Amino acid sequence: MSQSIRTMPEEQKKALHRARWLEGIWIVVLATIVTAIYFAVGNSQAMKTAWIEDMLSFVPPVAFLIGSWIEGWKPNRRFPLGYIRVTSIAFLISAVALGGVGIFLIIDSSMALIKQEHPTIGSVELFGATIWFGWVMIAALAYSVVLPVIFGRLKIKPAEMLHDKTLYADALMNKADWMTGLAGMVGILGIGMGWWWADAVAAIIIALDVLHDGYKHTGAAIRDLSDEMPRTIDDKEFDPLISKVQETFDALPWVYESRLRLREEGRFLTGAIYVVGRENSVSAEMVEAAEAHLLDLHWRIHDISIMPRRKIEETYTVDDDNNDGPMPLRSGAIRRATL
Amino acid sequence: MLVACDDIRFPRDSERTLETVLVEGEMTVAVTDSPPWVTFQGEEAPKGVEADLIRAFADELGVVIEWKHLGAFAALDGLERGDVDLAIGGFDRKGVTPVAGAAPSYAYFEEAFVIGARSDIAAAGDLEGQEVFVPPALPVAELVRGKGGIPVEEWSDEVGLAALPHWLLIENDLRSTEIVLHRAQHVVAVRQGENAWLMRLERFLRRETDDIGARLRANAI
Repeated sequence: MSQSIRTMPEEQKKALHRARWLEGIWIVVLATIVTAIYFAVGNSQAMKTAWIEDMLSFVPPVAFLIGSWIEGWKPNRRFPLGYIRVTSIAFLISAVALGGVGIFLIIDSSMALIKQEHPTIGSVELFGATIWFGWVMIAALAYSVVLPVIFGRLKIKPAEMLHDKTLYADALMNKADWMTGLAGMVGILGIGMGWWWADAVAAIIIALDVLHDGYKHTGAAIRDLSDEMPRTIDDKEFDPLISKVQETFDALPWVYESRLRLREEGRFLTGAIYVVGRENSVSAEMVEAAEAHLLDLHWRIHDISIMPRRKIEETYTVDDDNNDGPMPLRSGAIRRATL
Repeated sequence: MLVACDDIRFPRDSERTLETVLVEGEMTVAVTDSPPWVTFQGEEAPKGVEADLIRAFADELGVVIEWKHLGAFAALDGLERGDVDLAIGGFDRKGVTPVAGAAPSYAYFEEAFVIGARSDIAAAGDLEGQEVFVPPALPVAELVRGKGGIPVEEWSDEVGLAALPHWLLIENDLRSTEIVLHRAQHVVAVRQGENAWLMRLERFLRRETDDIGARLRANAI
């Protein structure tokens, strides 16, 4: 039986419920942070950069909420494979937004440095006392670092359970947010010390962090959408489910030789197995039973097609300079020469 | 002097303006003719509300002032080059902010140019076709025309409306209409990035500028 976001195990459903709540609350909290920073931006480049970074932080939670909603739509005539890939697309969108703004911020902050803009921060009257506005900026930044770290930690677990890369990237960004807040504070304190360049340098550091996140996640998203073999959520190694599927399948008594290819579609795995059966007698019943057996291995395994073959070629590209000749083939597929 | 040193510590200036002023016992102030804020005749010491304010500021710091009579552009330019420690001349925040090298103080006085009406005149909803007295020194004739009014230079009995800053209304027995021609946020300009200097100036301004309206009226007479 095929799995989807509606038919996930209870544990995953709970995690999804929790993740949606977390992201919903997070959006509200983030709005308060963005407001606080907005009123404290003043003349600081670092504050401006931190503010834009915080605005950007809206993208992943919104992408997650929309993505996980669309993902549950039922397959139809137009989209017979369902909408499970939408999470990968949401992930790509978040990542590209991040990278683009990162580049913008680096250019913007570098200009401030090149033009030697000396940030001017004056006073503000607060409860009858005249204080330096820099302290207000630092207070706003301090507020902006505490909550993201807490939410980041809370989001990691559901992200891992759901194998949700958008949520995972969002959690990591939140967890790392204290660094940008700290960079901003150091920049403001630098201004107070009379080091006019400190602010722009802090802004560039924040922008580099944004760009780094964008670059890393854009790469991962593009690889996912290019049907890379599934990777673990931290992208460090191949997903252990690959060998589990391979081993389980090869252990079937009628399997003589097989080749597996899997891809990630959002949080789910789909793919095909080419198989040569013993004695060349593979029945429809055997194929169906084997498919069901594989899908039962893990909730993330969504759809595996088993394709009986007479033999599996080791090499599968066709060397032919003639443009009309056969195209390079995917592993296991057979194409008759078109001569 | 101890208090002064404490103030220097944080925030600090990137070009040490406050320290230099205190050590040398002199500050350079660029003035731009702009009545009633700053006026001067020849080389004599400037008069006007802002000139008086800055004189009091210099007294507090215990330093003397070297006045420099400059145009508005040259005054702000002098800030960028560091020849000038502060510049006054009825500057509006919007005029100072875009100048690279100069920075506005907080807006210590908000001035609104309004249409005042004689008390016996019915409230005017708009200026369409009405005669409005515009004092010759006030550059708001275009704004009056823009709202459909007809600017006149004579404050005769036939004219019921006048364009003037809000602080002159009561003085002239006029009541304010809803029509605002222009708002100005008055600031003192300093060199950008001189945060200790700016803080010192703003502390002074915050203490001493509660009665700007009264000072303006006294100056206008």
